[in-house]
Amino acid sequence: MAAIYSGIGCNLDKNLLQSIFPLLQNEKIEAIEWSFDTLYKQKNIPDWFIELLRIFGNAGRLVGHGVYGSLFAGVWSPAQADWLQHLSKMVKNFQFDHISEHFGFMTGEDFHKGAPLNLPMNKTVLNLGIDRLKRVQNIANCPVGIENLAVAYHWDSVRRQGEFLGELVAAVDGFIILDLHNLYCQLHNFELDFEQVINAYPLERVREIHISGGSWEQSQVEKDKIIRRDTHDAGAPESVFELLQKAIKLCPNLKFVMFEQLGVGLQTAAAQQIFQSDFTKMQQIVSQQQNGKDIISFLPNLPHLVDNQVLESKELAQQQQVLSSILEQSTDYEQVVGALHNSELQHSDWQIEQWQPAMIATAWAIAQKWKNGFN
Amino acid sequence: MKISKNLLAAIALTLGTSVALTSCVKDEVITVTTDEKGNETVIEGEQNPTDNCPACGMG
Repeated sequence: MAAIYSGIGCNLDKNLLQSIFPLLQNEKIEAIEWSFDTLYKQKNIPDWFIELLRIFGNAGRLVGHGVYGSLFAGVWSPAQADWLQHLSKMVKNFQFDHISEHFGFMTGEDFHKGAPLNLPMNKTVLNLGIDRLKRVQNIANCPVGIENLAVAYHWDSVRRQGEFLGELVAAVDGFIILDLHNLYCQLHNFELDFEQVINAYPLERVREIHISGGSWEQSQVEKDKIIRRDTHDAGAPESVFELLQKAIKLCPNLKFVMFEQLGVGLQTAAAQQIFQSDFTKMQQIVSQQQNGKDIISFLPNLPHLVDNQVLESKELAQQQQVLSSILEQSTDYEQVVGALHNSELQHSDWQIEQWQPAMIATAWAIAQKWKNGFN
Repeated sequence: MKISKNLLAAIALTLGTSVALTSCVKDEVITVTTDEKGNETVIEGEQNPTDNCPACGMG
């Protein structure tokens, strides 16, 4: 009988660890999701953190969640080759039940200074993503998956994402991480119903669900619109727990439900208590809806056959660079729109003609926020 | 999942909080040090449990 484990996105952040500590003490945490590529500034991981990861890993309750892989970048950079090399070291040291990354590409020249942005869902991106997922899986030797992205420029890209992720991971018998706060952002920003969007996802491929919080932002270009952003810096809204209650019943191969929040939003005792209470609420929902059936392994015959050269698309890379540059260098919304409509992205698969003004402004704000990294 | 008291103590020390240890452990020595750059934490510990304790699993 398969259980669904309630876990925490756990990284080396003091505020986050302070929030998690009482839950660890009371044996509430059933699984850990670790972003194994976020320690690039630290030479060594503390011994106790290694032990914590090993305890959960040895119990089959540790999952690795990449942040900086940018698997859908048009070109495969030396930094990404290093990322794969780092992954190979991690899987030798820790037993991951699965490895995942995000849909989208990172803006910015520097590997660690950028924002995740959406992509055209075309054959080029599909083939490129499949090639990179195969390489990740050949190294990780465990199930691999991709998380849905919150940022979308227009309704059609929301509608298409579930189906596209399904095509992508099917090639490696992989899984989808369904981030319900990301979905919540899309439902709000595009005024959609849950059923309209969720039915586009191949829900039998959902192995992990994420719960997190975010923030509201008054749109500066559509004055009557408030945008929901996936900033991970606040508690989860009640609506996201309601989505969990609905979604969990629809995902027959679900194994992990993870609560994620950044330490930046956990600086006060009150915020830490809300975090603990949100986790408990999530765990109660999960415990009431254990599926009790065997789930599929998401592990194909390995290794995958891949070419020596990582698949690249110079055209996609050029388009990504143009978009990144416009979003990072423009000083206001009007400049972004003007530059987009004078760029090679016009009349392309990026469909910029359909992008909603408020979402262009949001993409610009995200790129501005992250262009200097975490500093 | 169950985490040992020893590991919890190590985490608590790093976080600057305190954690109550059960009476089955005595003479516990855990220190936290950092290198000259101040960015590397090392836990050095020594546990001297009195008896095997079914409650906490230590010993």
